[in-house]
Amino acid sequence: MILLVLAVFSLINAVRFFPSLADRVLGYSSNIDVNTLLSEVNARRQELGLNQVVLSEQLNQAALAKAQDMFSDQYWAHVAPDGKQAWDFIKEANYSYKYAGENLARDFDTSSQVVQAWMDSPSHRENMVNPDFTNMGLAVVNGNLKGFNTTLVVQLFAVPQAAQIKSANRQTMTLPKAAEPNFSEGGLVAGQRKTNSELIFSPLNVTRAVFLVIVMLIVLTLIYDALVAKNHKYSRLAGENFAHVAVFITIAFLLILFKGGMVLP
Amino acid sequence: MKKFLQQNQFAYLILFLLLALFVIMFLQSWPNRLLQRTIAVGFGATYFIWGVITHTKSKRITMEVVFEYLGVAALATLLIILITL
Repeated sequence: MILLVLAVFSLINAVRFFPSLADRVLGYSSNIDVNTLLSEVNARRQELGLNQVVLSEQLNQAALAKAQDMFSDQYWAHVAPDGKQAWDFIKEANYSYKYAGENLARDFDTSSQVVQAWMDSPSHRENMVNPDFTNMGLAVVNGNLKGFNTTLVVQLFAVPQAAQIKSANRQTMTLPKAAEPNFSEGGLVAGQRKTNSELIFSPLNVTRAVFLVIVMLIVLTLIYDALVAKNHKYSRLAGENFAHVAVFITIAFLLILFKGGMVLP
Repeated sequence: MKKFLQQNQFAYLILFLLLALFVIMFLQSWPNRLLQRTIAVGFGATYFIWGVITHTKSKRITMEVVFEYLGVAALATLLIILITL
């Protein structure tokens, strides 16, 4: 059974080596857009009594450049393989800042999930609820990263050079934390939604569905085995199926509730 | 089944508490996938130990039982780890 699970997982992942097949079989869909991200971020900040952040066109361009760089160089990290960091993109966009921060996310389905994941991660939350930040840049880019279609979200926060920093402990410029998503060639969209409604079978959903089928087959087999043993009054040499059934039902529950998406600590 | 559960009330109470704790910890640790994998491995090991201890206490421990719990724990852990990759 373990070999079967590994084989199924390998098969699903092997599709990535056949891009045309992956697009047809696995497909891809996300529903993330900049406007919703902006309003969700400001809603969270408002709940905490913080100032609202406004989108900066220059930071949007920097975020876009970062996302495109991750796709073109096929990486998912705060620092590019060539050593380029978040603030390099900000400077290239001619944005002069005192203090900046970066959050990255990938593989999420909705804007709400992205914001919730950032809020649930201490290092990303630090940027999200930083009272000094007044400007934000966002990029939502679809593309192919290491064989899988995905959506990368780059979020940049900054305090413009002219602004006065409120926090007493921020006397010096601090470089941002970077989170990483990646994209490759695909179309990038800053501040725009890009969805593919025809292709809804993401690798995660396919894996989850297949694993659920396997788990339910195991559960049914264990129940059938227990019933046969009881009816024929067999003396069992092995353990009790009841515990195994409880464990596999729990696993099925987790497979259903499992949320995709990654943020980089 | 009813008689069996009554005879092993305490052991199954522990198991259900473990399962509930596992579910809560796993879901709470989102989106930290590394932590989710660690929790899954911890749960797998705990389930194996639970099975061995329960069967040892009821004097029904055999190599078949040990391997059975090892297999179930490994499969459950593997499923969770693979979904988080």
